[in-house]
Amino acid sequence: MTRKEVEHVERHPKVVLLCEDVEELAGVTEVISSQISAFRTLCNFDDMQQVLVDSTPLVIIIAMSSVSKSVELYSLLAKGGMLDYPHENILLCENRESGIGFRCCMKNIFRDYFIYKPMYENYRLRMILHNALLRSKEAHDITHIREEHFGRIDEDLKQLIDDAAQYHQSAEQTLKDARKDLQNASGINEVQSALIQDLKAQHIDPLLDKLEAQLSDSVIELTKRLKSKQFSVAELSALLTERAIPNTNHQASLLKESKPETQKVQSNGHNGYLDLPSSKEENTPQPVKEEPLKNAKIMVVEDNEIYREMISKILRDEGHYVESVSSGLTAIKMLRKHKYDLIFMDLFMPELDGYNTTKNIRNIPNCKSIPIIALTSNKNKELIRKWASLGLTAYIAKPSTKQSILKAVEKCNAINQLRV
Amino acid sequence: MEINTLDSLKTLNEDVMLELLGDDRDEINSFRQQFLVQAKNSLQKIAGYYRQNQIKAIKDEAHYLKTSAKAIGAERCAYYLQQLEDTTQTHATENIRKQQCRAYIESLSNEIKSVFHACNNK
Repeated sequence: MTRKEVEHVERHPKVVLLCEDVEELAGVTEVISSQISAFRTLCNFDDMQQVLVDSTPLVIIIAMSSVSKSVELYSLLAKGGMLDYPHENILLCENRESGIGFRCCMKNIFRDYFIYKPMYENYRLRMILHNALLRSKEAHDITHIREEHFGRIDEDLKQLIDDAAQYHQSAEQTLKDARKDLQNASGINEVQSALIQDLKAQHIDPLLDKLEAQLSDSVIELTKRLKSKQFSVAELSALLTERAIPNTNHQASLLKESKPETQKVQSNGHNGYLDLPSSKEENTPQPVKEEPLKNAKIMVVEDNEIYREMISKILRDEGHYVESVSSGLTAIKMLRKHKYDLIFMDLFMPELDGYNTTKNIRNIPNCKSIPIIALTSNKNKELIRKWASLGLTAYIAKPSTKQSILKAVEKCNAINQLRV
Repeated sequence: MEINTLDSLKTLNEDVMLELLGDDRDEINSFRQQFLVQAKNSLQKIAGYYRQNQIKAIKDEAHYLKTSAKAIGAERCAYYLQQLEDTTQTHATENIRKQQCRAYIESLSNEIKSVFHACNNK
């Protein structure tokens, strides 16, 4: 892999081409470099590792001498943890291997493939690259917003935990002071003093003990709950970026976790393995048969009782079991206790809006992928896009129609079937 | 339903509820009556918030009522509620904003009366 050293040597490339023989790819590199200057070709495995770690390029193009070698290289890099970030990957292959390239993309190993040998189509490559850059840029922006947002929430929660501890201390001190004052309290004569002591022993001391115990319990419980809610930015970021570019980062993590089995592809020097798609396998995507969903357990979260009742009625009339709530907080409480197949949710609600409710719901173990249909008339596309980044299945513009509401339910049904 | 110019909007667009709930007249009438009760309460709240200069509360209440206004097909009502909501978020001076809010609240009040008449004439 070290026949010729790097030709395009951008320090922090946005696009990298990983290959064995750069001379073979002279035309391709020319096209790419004319499209984007932040581009680098890498032929040495150590350089590849270093550049991927240092620069996290948005687009990775792999053009080894065969598809199996390209897949193996990508697998090796993924297993080495060098691809744990949102990126796009493109496979470059020869015409004779176009079938395998296609199947690799169908299997989501690569986002796209491009035939560069014996001939290549200049503008097709430019188009693929342009789209890949565009998608990566969007994913990168979303990741950035999320990190900023969750970082702020983390800080707020830390502050709340500190406040709870501080409150505990000051309340304890107040109780201690009250005991001390009582201890020193005396009446104007012996009878009164005896009465005060009697009162203290029988009523006030037990009351203070009880208060102290309750305070301690509630603060411990509160701190525990706050800590359990504390978001780890890194964890969330990893989880959410996986959704940002599902075909690449997710696939990279799958490759990272996969164990070498079945069709082993061994190559020069590396011990990496990868399951290649079988040539006999039928790779045409099977259309998901959408059967009408009956008896689904659906939750409707909407603060306006009229619209809430309308949506519930439409769903009930179709044979679904519907529970409706007026706030995000109630929805979260119910979702912690009961399992639902799907949720309809409003964006603007008092106390907790749809975005923050969804964020909390995604933290509930059984609800990480529960389909959520957004109900909103809000024109703020940015806000809706932000909300969608948490994983919305469909979006319904109020007041909508019966037909579109049921269509959205069917869509969720299809997703649920896929999940099963 | 996109909120367009006022002229193109109806006081009570019957098609909206037909498309949403079908032609169950009793059901439709029941939701309309519920809306009128809700609209009266919301309007009183909005007027109260206006007097207390609680702009954010006006916005929230207007948004809340807009949902059901749209759902029953009270398009002009929804329009005024949207305008009211937008006005609370403009950067105009407080006086101008208050004047605009007042004008929309009055229009909304009249429009709710029109919806009432339209419902009773159906």
